[in-house]
Amino acid sequence: MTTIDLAAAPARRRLGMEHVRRAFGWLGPVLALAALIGLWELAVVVFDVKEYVLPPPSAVASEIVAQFSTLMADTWVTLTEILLGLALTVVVAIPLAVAIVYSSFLRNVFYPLLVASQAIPRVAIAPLMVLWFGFGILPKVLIAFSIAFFPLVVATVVGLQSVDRDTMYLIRSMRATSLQSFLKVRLPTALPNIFGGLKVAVALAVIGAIVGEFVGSESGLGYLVLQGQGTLNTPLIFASVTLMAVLGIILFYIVEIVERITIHWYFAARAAAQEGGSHEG
Amino acid sequence: MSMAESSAPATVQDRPDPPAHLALRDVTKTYKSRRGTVDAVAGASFQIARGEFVSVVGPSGCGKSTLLTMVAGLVQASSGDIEIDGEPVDGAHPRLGVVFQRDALLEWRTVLRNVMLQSEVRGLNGDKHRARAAELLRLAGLEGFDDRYPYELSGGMRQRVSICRALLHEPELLLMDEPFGALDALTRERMSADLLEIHQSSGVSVLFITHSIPEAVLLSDRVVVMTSRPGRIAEIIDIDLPRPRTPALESAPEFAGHVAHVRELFVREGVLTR
Repeated sequence: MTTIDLAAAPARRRLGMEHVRRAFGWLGPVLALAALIGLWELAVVVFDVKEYVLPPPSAVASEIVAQFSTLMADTWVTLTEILLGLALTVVVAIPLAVAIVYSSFLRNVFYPLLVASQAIPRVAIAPLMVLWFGFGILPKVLIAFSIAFFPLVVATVVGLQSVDRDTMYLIRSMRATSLQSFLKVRLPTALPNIFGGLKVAVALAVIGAIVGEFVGSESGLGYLVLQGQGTLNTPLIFASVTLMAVLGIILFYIVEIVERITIHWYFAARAAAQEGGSHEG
Repeated sequence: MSMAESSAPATVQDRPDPPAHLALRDVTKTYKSRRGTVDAVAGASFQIARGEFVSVVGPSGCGKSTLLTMVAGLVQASSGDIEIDGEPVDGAHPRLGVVFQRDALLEWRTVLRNVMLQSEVRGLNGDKHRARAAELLRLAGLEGFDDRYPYELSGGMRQRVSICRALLHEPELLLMDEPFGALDALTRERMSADLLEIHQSSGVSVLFITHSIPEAVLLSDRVVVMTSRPGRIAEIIDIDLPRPRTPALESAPEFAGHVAHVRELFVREGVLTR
């Protein structure tokens, strides 16, 4: 073995560890979760807890299996509400943020009102939505939208305003039109913030849809929770909550994957900066 | 990086005295702040002839960058005239290339597409300029980096990309705002040598902002010395050193003489101490 090999060895070992960590990074959390579920099961048996108070995980699992088709149908209803709420959020929030950045009137008059409106607890106006729009899907979509859209507006406004002065000078020195500087500079610059806002919006849209179902509905996972409460079917409540969590996690990771693909340059640049900057050649 | 360019010949004029490529007359810039007005630039006047290399050297906050943004048509002067080819500046001039201290590369574009931004935004022929962009990058020593992203490059390489971008549309006037200010000394020297070559081969006029006295003397035909608060011109010094120049010139006694002269001005103005 030459000296060069010896010198390279630590670096290679570090690279190997990195590889292992990346491949089995999910293993830690999964094992921890399995341990917690085991502990829960054990505690219920040891302390002889009644099933309608706290069902063991095994009872929740068998409830999911037994009620699978009902649960899937209601999951589908809730998922539809969330997705429509999110779609409405994106379609309204991003153009609104653009308008706020470009119009000093909207920025000075409308934006402060929008910020102040966040003091209204949206959960409290959920019954009003039901009163106005009935028991169908629409009030849930609107509640999900009303909770989720504000963080996305703020994130997009901040992102669009984060272009540095020199870059703005540069694009103007090329005699760019407003549309060109928006599409080629402002919007791409804002993308990391927009994705950040979108991830918050996903989590909030899930909450909004469930709140909507609590207030008045005939189907959905929130409706199943209320049914479970009314019939003391606690395993059903746990089964519904589990599916809500699964929904939320899946939606979050879908956004994260799209983010990783769309703004790969952002993560790569950040990682490069953390590695200790560039080297002159 | 020896970027050969077909030098654009000056238009033949009937007048005996053709207008300067760039002319500033009594240019001022005043900013209003809460505590009254601040004079960023007070009465700046100088000219750049076609193909001339002029540096503006001065301490931070002397308004030299403001001067550049006004010439670029990005910031409006408070009073005075700025003319390019005898025409008052109104917005960015079409034959202008600008280089900033922080390279202002777009992180989401590859090296080639960063350079191509210039022709894309200006609506210039894509194929022709793609070939020219590739050629500029090759001359800049960035061959094989076309598809890399800016974060994969060193600071010097990034600034080379930004210079290629500024040259893509064959500008007649190049404005550079402390382009080497963020680079280490060795990279800086190499970039200076390359810039001398670009200027020599292309005949482009250059307005170069810097706070380095030796850099200004090495590169320029004339050095505009500015002092701060308010930013005004202390003196304009002719640098009669022969061209073509290389960084080796820095050891020549005439070079040292010019540097000492500029230093003396700054000492007199209280910017430097003896």
